[in-house]
Amino acid sequence: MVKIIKKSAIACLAALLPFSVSSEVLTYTENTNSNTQIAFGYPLPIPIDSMTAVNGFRSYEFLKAHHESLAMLNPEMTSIQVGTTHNNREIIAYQFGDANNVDSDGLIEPAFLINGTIHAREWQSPEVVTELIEQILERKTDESMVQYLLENTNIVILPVLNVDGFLQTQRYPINVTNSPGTTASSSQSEKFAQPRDGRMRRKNMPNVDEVLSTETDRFNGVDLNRNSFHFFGVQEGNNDPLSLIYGGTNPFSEPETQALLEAAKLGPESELRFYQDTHSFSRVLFVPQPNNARLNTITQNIATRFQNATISQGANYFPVIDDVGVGIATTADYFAYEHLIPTWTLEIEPPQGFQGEPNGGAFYGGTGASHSGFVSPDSAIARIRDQLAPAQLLMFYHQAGPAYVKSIRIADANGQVVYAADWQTNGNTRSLNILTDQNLNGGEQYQLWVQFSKPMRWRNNGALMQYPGQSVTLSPSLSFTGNANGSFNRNISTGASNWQDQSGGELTGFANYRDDALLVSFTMPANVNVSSTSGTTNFNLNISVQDFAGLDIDANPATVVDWANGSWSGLENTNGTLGDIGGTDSSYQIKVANSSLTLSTGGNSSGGGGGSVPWLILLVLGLVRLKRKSR
Amino acid sequence: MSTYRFIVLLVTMVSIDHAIADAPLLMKDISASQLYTDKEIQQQTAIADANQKSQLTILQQEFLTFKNINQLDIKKLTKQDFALLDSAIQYQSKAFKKHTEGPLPIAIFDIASAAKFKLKQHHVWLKSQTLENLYRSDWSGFKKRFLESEDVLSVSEQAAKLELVKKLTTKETLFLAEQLMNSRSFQDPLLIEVILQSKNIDYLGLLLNKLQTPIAHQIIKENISQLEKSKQAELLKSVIESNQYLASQALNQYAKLPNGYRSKSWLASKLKDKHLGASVAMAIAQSNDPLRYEELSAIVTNQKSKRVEVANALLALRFAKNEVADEHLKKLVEGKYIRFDDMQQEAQRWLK
Repeated sequence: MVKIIKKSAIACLAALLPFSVSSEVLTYTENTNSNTQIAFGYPLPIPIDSMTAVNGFRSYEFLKAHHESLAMLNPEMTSIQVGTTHNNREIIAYQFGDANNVDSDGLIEPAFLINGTIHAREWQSPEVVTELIEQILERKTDESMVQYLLENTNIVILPVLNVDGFLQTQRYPINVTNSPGTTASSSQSEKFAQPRDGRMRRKNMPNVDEVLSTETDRFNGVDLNRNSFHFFGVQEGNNDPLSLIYGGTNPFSEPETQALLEAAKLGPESELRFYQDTHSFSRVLFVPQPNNARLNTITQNIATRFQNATISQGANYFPVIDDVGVGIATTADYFAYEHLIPTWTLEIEPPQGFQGEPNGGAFYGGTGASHSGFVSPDSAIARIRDQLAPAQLLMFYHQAGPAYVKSIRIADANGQVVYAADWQTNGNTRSLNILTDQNLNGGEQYQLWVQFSKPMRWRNNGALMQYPGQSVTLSPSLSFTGNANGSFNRNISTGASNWQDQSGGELTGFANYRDDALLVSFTMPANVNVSSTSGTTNFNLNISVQDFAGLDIDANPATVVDWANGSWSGLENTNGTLGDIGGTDSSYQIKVANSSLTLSTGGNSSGGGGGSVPWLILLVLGLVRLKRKSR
Repeated sequence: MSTYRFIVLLVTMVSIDHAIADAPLLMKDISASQLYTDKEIQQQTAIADANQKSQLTILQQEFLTFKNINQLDIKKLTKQDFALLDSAIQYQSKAFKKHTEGPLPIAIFDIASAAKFKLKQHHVWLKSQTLENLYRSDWSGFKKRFLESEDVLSVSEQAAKLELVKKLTTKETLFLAEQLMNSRSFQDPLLIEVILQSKNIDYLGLLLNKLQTPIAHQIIKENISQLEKSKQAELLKSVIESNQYLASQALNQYAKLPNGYRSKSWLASKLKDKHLGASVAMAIAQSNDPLRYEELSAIVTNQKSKRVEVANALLALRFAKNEVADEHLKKLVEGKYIRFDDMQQEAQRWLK
């Protein structure tokens, strides 16, 4: 505390001295170097007054107007003022979804929160977040992933949190003030080493007059990414008001961080399943790891999926995993530790620290001058925006949760439904409502239609393919198993083409979204063993599928999957064990009659048992069956 | 420190254990002695010059190398300088600081990039010397070389040409622009530069109707505003009509023109444009004409107005940010004149 008072007193004294009223204003240039200028090696972006996306960085006024226009034109996007900055400017969050807050089962929707521009100088952030908004709205009627997300989840995006700071950087797009402790006679590298105001402002703007040259206030402000509860004040500098990483007087002391908490309430917080704080630069994800092994496994898994999605787009966003239980009071730390959900700090390009790749502005052929990484050239931002949107959307899709089988229909060759079952949700449980349950006959052909709770496959221009950067088995796995008079296992041949991308509903096409259903023809094996008394046997229909984010379906839809204590709840694997991995759903018993009484096994069946039955017994059974038929 | 010492230093320091190429260096990949705090960096670099003769830390060695490279004059590079730069472009940094946001070691001085940039600047300068000599001595030869396809030229020659354009006369740039327009797209940097230098308004118009590169925004903001007002209006209207990419920014510039030069009816007619309507709303708002607010309110209340038109009329009132416009908005919201529920709700939120 003494240290703080001492530093503050020095700052106050400095402010009163006549020779220190003006700081030295320095300039970033394309090619010129001098004692007050430093070359980046490419043209410095100047904010562009355009509402539509351009090859450059939009001014805050036009970016905000663009967000407002999208919210006005699209009922799926709603604006909510979540706070007001120190300088009395609105902080707006946008909510994306349908009119209700429940999913197709009537359950409260899972929520995701994306925060942008917490650090003023990181101009890549609002552009990347805005691209995400644009892609959500452009694809809102895609009958696939985005429409599913809008109808079944709640996405909250806050494009610019540090509005005052961001405006300060845009007010002085090529100017900064000299580093702390330097004077006009210091060397160029010393002056430019730690620029703190103008284009390189990071913090918010309490008691800052917006005039760049004012010496007395240029170090003021709180690092909003050190103003959270968990790990508050742990770093050297967090308690020093003049430090770049000053954390404020207490956690959430700042109106901007309070606004972020308000944005989280739109989820509401209890339904949050993913949080991303969007920064630049370094081209990595900083991934907090609370002391929760299941959460950490899930988070690392999706961070890898995120990375793979970006690699497929030509970038490599590498996950840097924090040590367990270690943090620095970032907002990603807060949401990870407070709500036990996957979170990270996304550091947008340029890269930093990758061997063989130039750092910062040198990545774009520039000089690599200090802090040039915060200044991507205009020509790069459109690519950056596009590269990151698929990965972010995939995170929403993944964290929406594992799919489950919603409905089964089996029809005979005449189109007559012989088996129909729907899962009906009631609170946290479901029951299987069997609507039709007739015998299927051995040797006859049927159509099987299975509906899932989410779109299961990804298409590009109509062609079914892997989601960018992912690798899942595209063909579902279906089989019949039985054990009456010997075990029996017969796979139903499936292919990618069985996924339905035309509307039509049961036994015809998809139900709600493209590829949320598959339709397969199969022939009921003729060589099945049946009960000697009933002439039928029960087969289990087994369904095993991964969605396009690689999540296996819930093996037991009877318990509704949710998110609790850092992991999935109600998710069972094939053996019925609760955990974070789904499996094969074998909930469906199909009655099969064997009219032809061909009791030998064969074909593709594995197991079987008919062959091991003594011939005498078979003969007796056959006679009994013949006698029955003749009645 | 002599250049020779730098070379020795670089040669001995080039060998470093590389992390895999597709991942950054992590904290576990470096030793504690390679990691410096901001305070240490400040202290050690401040005394590095003075300590040249004593033992230097890795940080100080890299600082001095970096400084030395940056101070090289690209027009006077010596043999030793080249040797230094050639070694430096391969150099892998060994002094790091921790990333502010997470556990990632960050190179403090990017020596390799600084060296590459210095060499690039030198090569551009060399090319520009050759080109300038040719320009002064042999116009015909210069023309031929200037117009040569970019594909067969080095990056430094392209950059040198771009620099040289500023030294050409208007007549020369006009001629070169005509020639280049036959063979290159309007996104070509050289064609853009000669057109700008030629100051030919017709060519500028042709260019802006197609241009989609970052420089387009600078031209809209700076170059066009230097033209006379009627010409500006004509050019901007043309851009708005034909270049969807630039239209939003062009509309903003158009809105800044004095009253007599702007066509209100033309702007109003674009309010229903699905792609540009919101930008038109912003332009109308910026023209700051209170009489427009009645018309905008009328669009909102008109039962025949389409959804997009109503939305953009409301946005124009919102973007105006003045009391009169707010009063109109208030009346529309409180009177429930907005017939689309979601828009009514959104506008209601603006008034809170």
